[in-house]
Amino acid sequence: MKSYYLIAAVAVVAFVALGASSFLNSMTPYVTTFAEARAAKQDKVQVPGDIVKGKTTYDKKAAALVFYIKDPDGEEMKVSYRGVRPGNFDQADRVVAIGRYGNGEFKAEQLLVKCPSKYQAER
Amino acid sequence: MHLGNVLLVVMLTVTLSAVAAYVAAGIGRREYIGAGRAAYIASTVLVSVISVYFMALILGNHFELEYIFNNSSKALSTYYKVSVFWAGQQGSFLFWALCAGLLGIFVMLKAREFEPWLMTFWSSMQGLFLILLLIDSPFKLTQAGMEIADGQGLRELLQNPWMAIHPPLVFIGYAAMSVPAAFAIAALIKGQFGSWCRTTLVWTVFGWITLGAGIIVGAYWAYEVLGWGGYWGWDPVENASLIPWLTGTALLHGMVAERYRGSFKRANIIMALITFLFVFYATFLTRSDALKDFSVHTFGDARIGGPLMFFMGLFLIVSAALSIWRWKAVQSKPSFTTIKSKDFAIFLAIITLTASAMFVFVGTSAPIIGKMASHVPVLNNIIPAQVKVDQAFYNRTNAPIILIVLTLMALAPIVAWRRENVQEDQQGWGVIIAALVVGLSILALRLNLMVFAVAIAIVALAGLITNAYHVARTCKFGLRLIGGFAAHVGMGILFLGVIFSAAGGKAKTIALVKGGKPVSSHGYTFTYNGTKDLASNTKGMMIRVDGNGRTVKAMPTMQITRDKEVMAKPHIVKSFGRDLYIAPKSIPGPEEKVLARGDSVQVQDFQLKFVDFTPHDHEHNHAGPEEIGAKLDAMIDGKKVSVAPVMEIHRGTMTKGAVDVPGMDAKIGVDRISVEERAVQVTVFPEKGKLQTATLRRDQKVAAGEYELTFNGWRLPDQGHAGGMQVIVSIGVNYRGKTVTVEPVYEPGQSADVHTVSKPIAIPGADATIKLDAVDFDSGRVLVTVTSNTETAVVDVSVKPFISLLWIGSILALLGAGIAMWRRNAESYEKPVPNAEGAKAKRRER
Repeated sequence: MKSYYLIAAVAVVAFVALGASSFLNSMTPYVTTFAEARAAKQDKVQVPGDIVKGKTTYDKKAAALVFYIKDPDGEEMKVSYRGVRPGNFDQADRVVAIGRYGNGEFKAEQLLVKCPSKYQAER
Repeated sequence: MHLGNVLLVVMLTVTLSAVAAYVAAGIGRREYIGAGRAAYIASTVLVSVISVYFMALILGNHFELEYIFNNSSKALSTYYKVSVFWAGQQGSFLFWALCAGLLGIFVMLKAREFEPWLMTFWSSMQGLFLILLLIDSPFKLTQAGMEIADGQGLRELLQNPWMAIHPPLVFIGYAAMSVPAAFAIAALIKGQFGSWCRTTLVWTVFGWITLGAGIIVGAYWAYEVLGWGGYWGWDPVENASLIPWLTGTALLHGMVAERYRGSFKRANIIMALITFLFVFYATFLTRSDALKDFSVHTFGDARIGGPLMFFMGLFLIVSAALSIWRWKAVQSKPSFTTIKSKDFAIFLAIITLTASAMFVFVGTSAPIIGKMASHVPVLNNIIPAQVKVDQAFYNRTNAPIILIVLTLMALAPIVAWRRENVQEDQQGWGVIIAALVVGLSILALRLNLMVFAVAIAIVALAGLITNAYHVARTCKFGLRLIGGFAAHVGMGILFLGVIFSAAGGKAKTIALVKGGKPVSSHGYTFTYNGTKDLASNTKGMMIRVDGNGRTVKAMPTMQITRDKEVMAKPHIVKSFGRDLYIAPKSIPGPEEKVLARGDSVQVQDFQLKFVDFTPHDHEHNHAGPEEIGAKLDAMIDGKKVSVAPVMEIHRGTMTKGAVDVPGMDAKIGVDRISVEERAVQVTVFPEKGKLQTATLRRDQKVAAGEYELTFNGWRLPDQGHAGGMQVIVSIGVNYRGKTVTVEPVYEPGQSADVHTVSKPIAIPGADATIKLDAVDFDSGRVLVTVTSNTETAVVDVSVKPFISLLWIGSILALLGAGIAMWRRNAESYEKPVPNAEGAKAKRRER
């Protein structure tokens, strides 16, 4: 009987190890300034920013979107994103870019466009 | 105070008196049980009355209530108006309270000796809902006393039949999944563990069905409507309902074992309590503002987080204390003695399903974990304070779990229940199984998940076959025996659908040009036939799809929602073997842009900058249309191109209030008057020749073509005019030596019949045209429209092989569980004779 509890214990330990390891591998820190984004050790970070109006370019043929975002310190950062520009990108003022910093720009794998939508109305 | 809130306060009082009476009955004053029952029934009647009243307010368009204003409108169909009840936060809490209230009546009637403590618990839960409803009331008025004509309408995403039934299913599921916990608490207090499982199992199955149906309906809705290409995105809202369902599945199997063998008693009590805790944790995550920075969804209300946390904390402390106190008193048979038995398979299933729930729990709570870790010395170096996990975490951790659970499922009909008195030495097997679990976990971390996908598909198929064979063999002994195994068949089919549909690969983005060459992808040919306006805010792309032996007219749509979001609804060409998923990404059409002087914006694939207005004549005083122009610079492939679209302003052929000039073959009308400048602008409409416009000042003669005009003055009509203000203008007209005086009438905002004509001009090098639609000199802004000459629609195309299996499998699993529920319901009325039952069960199974 006791040996079966040992199986359970081994299974639990294995699952905990699996969970912890996957967690550390796939966590995406949420940083607020670009200095933190550059310094991040992880493969991916997510960083929010206000879109700088008038500096966005989109190359339809190459499906390459390049734009600039500004952090609370007022620093501007170039963001490049390959893929079709998100449908509501034009209306957005703010965006959360998920990706990593390298070669003077932030390469976004995913863009979360923050819209004024709410689960319910603003109070 | 609104009548609804008064009723909520009354109900809270009644519910709290039910709690008091049941506590009294629980501590030995049995005479109070009648009072508790009466109070509980009264509170359920009240919640029903409040719900009917709330529904009547919704159907009656009472937009003075903030909730109804925010979620409904006059134009909404009655069907969706009904769903407004649970479309928002406050309404869904009321609906949950209604479900729990009604369910509580059935529970009360079957609770027997557990009734006092069980109903104390249940009434306390109702009390919590009432407190939440009073903090954030569905009956809250908008600005006091304001008459509101119409509401904002139901969010377009929720205007879907599946989304209308998804919340009720989930809330009924939550209420049903709370029943085992209520029984477990009562059993712990009473110290009686013999019969709670028999009464409760049917509720666990019912909760499994309703919550499971709610989850799958939500997934189907996401697939049909959201257009991101999948049915499951590991979003906190989805995870929140999955976690209690996973622990509920573990509980379900443990309870079946307890029914047969009298084993797993402790595990079942713990699982029932955990499932309940997860139901409320899910609510806490999605309805308070705990995750507000971490999801594209934006959540509810900070004020309800506190009461929910307090309730969860209290529940955790009470249930942990009770469990520790009664731990030794729970007389459970050993869960298993040999490894080659159903008992052991269930033991492993409980561990793995709980592990899966914990993984989803940890992943979803990552932001909270990060926040807590930031206060712990060592952890704060490892885990950032603000953190979330990506989808890879969920896939990686759940891959070995699914493999193990499906393997156990395949073995379920093969291995028998434990034989009594058999003490085999199975340590060898134990080592093998432990090694397998460890090995799979390491593989999940190191290997490409494709390997797991193949293994999962094989095991799912095996499980489908073994369980289907068992169903075929057993059904002749009675339909009610096959429920669980039929559900297993469904789960096998479901996972085949999951794996096959993922094999379709990633979506490919294709651009379709109207009149251009058809584009081929995934074995289909796509021809674009232009856009179609479906509604003022909705456009459809007309796409012809040839392939797979047929031609289909597809129409994915894009809608600008009331919240100014783009809702991209895919078109899915469905068949049993594969779904073709066409998700719209960008729709061709004119782009309207407002530009301030010096501004530049991205239009189509170039930058456009508004430089300035082109010189124009403010004091326009000559024949022909006025022209207003703007100069814009376009940056195309690094080159600057200037364009200057113009807008012509035409005076109409006739001005309202114009009068005949006697004997002069003309009419004259007043376009504008300026009181400060003591000037009027008039237009002469000769019967032949061009119309003439002129600005006249007091006692000055001004020529307008052949006519010489004098402005004599203005006056108001003698009698009040029913419509707007009118001014009568006196003008002397000299034409070919004759002079007459006429009195055209001016009405502000009515008289001038002015229209503008904007002619599109080509933008050199851009394959597009631009036109100037409106100008605003005061703020220095222009409105321009840029239209591409080639209409290009961009869509994401993907194929989902055999995704139909996912839906078919889930329906079968739910139907199987329905049969199991029928059986467990019948059994819940049986007299408790555990040994005879066990023997009977053993005969059935072999």
